[in-house]
Amino acid sequence: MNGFWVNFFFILLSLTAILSALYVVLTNNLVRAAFALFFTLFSVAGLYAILSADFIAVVQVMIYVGGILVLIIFGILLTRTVFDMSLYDKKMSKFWAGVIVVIMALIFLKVIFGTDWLVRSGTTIQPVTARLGNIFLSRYLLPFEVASVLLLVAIVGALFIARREVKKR
Amino acid sequence: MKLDINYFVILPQIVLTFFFLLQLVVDAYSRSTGRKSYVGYLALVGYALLAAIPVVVWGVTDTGFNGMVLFDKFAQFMDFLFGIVGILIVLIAPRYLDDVGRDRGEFYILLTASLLGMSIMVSTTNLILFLIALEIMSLAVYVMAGFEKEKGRSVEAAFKYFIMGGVASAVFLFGVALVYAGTGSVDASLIAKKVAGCKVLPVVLGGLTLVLAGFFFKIAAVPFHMWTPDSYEGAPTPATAFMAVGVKAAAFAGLMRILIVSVKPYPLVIEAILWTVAFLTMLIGNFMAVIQDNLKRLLAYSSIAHAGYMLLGLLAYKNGGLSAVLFYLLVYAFADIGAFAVLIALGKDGEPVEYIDQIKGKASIHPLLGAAMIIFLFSLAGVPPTAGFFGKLFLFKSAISAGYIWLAVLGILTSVVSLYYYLRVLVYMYMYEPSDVVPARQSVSVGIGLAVMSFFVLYLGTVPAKFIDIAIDALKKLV
Repeated sequence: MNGFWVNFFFILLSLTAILSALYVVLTNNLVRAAFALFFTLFSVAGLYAILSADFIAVVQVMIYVGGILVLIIFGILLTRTVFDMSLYDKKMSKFWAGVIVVIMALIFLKVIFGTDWLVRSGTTIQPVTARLGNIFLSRYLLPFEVASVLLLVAIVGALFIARREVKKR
Repeated sequence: MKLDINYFVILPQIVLTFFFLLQLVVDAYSRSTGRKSYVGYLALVGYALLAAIPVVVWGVTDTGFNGMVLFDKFAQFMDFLFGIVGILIVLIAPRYLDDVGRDRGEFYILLTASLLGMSIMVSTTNLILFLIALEIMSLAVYVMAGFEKEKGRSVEAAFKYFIMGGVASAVFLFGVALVYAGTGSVDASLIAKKVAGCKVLPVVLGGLTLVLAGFFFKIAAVPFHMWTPDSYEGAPTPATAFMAVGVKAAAFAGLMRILIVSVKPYPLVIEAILWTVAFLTMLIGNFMAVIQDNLKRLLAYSSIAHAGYMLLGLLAYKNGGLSAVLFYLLVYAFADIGAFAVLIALGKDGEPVEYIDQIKGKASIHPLLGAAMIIFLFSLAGVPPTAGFFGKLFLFKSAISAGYIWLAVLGILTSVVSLYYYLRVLVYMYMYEPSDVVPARQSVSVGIGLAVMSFFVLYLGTVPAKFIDIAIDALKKLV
């Protein structure tokens, strides 16, 4: 792909991601927010693909779009009480939220324009999946194993919360 | 790449993982046979081993997994502390869980998992491994906070902690991504090599600021403290004690290691942030504690205030501030868990102590508990001859010699304020007529725990030199 198309898709996908993410936070309807999240997650997967992170892009589609989003929508559909409710917290001050957003935006602008970004020179792009697998089983062996403990802890915790309690006595 | 597997450096983690899995299996079996679960005893053995390993191998240091895990004196000191904290929590938890009808093995299983995460956190400079460990710790503690899942406030506590903790982790991760973009590394020691010598890039500073914000959430520093009172109030009291001591100690140790290893000396922005946060945390923590009538909220604000004091030590790292923090963490662990343990010991069946009215005149019914409460609260306030006095003395001394005079002055002044709200609790315990004279049920394990904690608060207060030497020794390589 030449430079023009890379830029074109980058801008297209970024705009979709940002606008749909904005819709997710600003809409008052939970179902619409969930569906808008679809576009955010999908365009982020596209951004990964442009960055030649093919494995991450596939995982993003499989887990976030295919798994988590479906779970969220199922969660909404199965929970009638959250269907028609206002998502806004009346106590939250819009003024202070705005102040914090402006400060954060200034910091990020400073970061974006004040940094000489490391630009990767024009090396040929190669698939990363095999290399990722190698790294997971060599250099990042320990985090890889520890992550499985994390999943086990999550399962134990989720089971404890979700389990129906049998009344004794 | 060479596989650099070194089982010695992950010995504490192996022990904890083993006990975590063993507890799971034993709990499942004892439930299917309908017998009382004994995972609490297993937990005691595991944590005793965790505390014993550093004592045995003290000073034998090594690194492994391509420099990802550092089993140095600092990690060993913290592992020892975590073992002690774990034991104390196991001693005080059964009584409370029994009182509220929720004596379940999962509490100890999750406690083990959480300690496992904490012990990994303090022995790595790799931010990826650190984040996974942080998540292990946090996930387990979220569930512990919501352990009384039929009680609305406990669920609220877990929920708030979970949402806020999730945001904090996301902020932390975003910071790590920025640091990676600026330095090409996620290991704090390699970041240091990139940062040293040249000007610190804005992207690295921005990233570190976000990483700091993530840490501030975990140690409950102002302005990231909003979740603390609600979560501490709603969570079961032993879980609250663990959040206030264990989680805070682990987050502080991680913050110390990562900050000191990656940016030393601090860039101006980092120093300014630390200064401001320490200032606000000491001020707001102490003044908000004054108006609390709920004892768990009071201790929550007091724990915020203590985080502020410890940030002083982080600022004054050149003048022994970090070893002062380590000593303070040790002292604070005994005194704070002790205060929560007294609340647990005063509780009745189905009616745990929470409000200050509930402890009116209890000292006349339970003189020993009253005496213990005096020791713990005096230590938290920093009154000699308790250990808290020396904890604060070392912190303020290092802050003054590092030139943070105003912060030290504020620390001393707010300590005087803190004396007011701690004494108020004691006034309620001693100066009022008890509303009912039925004594609370006695519990052997809480009694043992209280005796151990009172002893150490007094012991560390009379001979602090030995322990401060160990704390200085633990940090020699790091600073």
